Amino acid sequence: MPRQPIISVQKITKTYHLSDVRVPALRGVTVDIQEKDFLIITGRNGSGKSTLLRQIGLLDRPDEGRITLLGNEVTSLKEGPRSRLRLKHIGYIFQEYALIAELTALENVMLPALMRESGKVVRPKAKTLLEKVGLGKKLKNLPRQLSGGEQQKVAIARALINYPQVIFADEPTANLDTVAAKDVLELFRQLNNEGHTVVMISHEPEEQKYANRIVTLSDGKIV
Amino acid sequence: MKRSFAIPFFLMSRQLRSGNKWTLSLTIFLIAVAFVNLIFVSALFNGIITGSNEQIVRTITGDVFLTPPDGQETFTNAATLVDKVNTKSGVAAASSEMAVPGNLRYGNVKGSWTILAVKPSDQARVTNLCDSIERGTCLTDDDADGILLGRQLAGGAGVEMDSFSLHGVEVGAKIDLLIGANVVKTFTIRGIVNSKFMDADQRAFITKTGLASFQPTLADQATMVIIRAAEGVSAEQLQETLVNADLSATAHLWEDAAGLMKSVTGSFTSINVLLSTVAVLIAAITIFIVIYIDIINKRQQIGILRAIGVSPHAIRAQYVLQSALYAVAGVLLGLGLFYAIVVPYFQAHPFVLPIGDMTMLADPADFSIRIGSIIAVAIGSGLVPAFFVTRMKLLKAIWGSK
Repeated sequence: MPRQPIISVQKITKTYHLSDVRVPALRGVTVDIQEKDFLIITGRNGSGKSTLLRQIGLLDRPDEGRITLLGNEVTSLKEGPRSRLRLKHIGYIFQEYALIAELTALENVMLPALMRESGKVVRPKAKTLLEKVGLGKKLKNLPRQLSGGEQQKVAIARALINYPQVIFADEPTANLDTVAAKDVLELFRQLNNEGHTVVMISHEPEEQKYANRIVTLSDGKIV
Repeated sequence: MKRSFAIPFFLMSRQLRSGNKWTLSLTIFLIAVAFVNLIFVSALFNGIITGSNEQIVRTITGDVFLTPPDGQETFTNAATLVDKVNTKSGVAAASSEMAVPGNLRYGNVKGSWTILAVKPSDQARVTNLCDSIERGTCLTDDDADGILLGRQLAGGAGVEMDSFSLHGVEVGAKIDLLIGANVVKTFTIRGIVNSKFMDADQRAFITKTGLASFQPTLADQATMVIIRAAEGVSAEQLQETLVNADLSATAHLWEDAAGLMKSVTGSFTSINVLLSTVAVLIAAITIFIVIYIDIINKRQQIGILRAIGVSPHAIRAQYVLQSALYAVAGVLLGLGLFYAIVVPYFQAHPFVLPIGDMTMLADPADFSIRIGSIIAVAIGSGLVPAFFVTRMKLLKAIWGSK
């Protein structure tokens, strides 16, 4: 029995306007992502990988086309419902970690869940997640007191706190050394095995072995 | 909904804990200074207006004063009238005054000043002139030969209106009272009164006993009866009581005799409103800029919060709460600075004006409005930029472009 697509992207386009210059980033991309996929989006710089991830991760809106996430047509949704979908179903991991500088590792992880549950409930969950990513002894460290790899692990734990169905990761290993990058990828494999759908951008060929599907973009089109 | 209130408190407390303490302190200090500027002008003018009003009441008119009914120049049974007034509820004390038609002469200097015949013991209960004796003593009721001079009338070095005075006459000196060209009596100066209110200090006082010694028919007459209200009774209430008391007199509020001072205090009120408006604007713009810059600097953080699913409502609430907290802390610090430094300084070094030594006076209602306006401005200053940043395209908020 074929699996249902958890995300369906239909002919989306996106063009950036830099001064008077039109830069087409996506030109009619269509792709279905199935539940429990570990999908890697690859391609050269400027091929539209990050733009595609931001559209399906609900951080941006395409100019044309439609995106369906968990059965909801999301392109025309208002910001409030999109924010709730992000909170409940999506974990987004940025290349630059995007942690809140004033919060400790534990508090950064707790933050998204505090929108739904009390601190008392969230704290042990966040602690467990940080232990899972190997940061059980750095709960009270601020981001500036952590290495790049550790910060990325905090970002991963934060993305997981609401137990999202889909995890989007925008080149999560780009700023990490080989050992830290391997740790992070193993973590993604483990999460995928636990049932999370993982959509990740990468241009490292050796990382492609972690994926069960690879989508290659070139000039804003899937090739 | 309940949970979206937990996030603002959580983020605010963490930001205060980990944020730059110097920036926080400077922000609060700036709000405090803006607040002191706002209340300083108000308290100063309030002090001047209230002080000058009190000077009129306590040196010249009492809270309410009676004048003879239309067509009559004087009260003919002044002592009886004072006794009758004293029986009325709301009256603390009453004193009659008879304007003596005459001039004063000291050596070669002669002039026309207001000379009032009073019963000193009554007068002391209504006015505070006997508490303001600069040199000598106050008069006593049976002192038929004594005269009390205001400082501006006595004159001398340092006296503002020396040109129109007796040029430095001293206690113990003799001065003549003239009616027409004739000397009717020579008085000995018992004291010089300095109430610091020029209008009050340009007068001379003799006793009713003294007046009786050369004009017995005028001794029980009065051109005015000044009345002090009892504790807790307003001038308006007292006036109403006296109007309804069948006294064959016209009852006036002290304000009716304020004359020039009334227009001066009216001008002060207008200036106060104008300067306060400017001060509120300065405070509002200052606070807006400080908080706006703070929030704009956190644009990326706000973008990240939105990206991980924190609702725009919760983000806005955080900055509103934070701005309100800055404002409350600034107001408390401002009040501390005001009452610990500014007020004591001006109490020790009051403003010397022709209406008296003026210091600052806080009006609780006025202060409450100003505190409220500072907090409201701060909340608006937090809400407006937070509103725009949460409406901004998410990627633009995080990366500043795209």
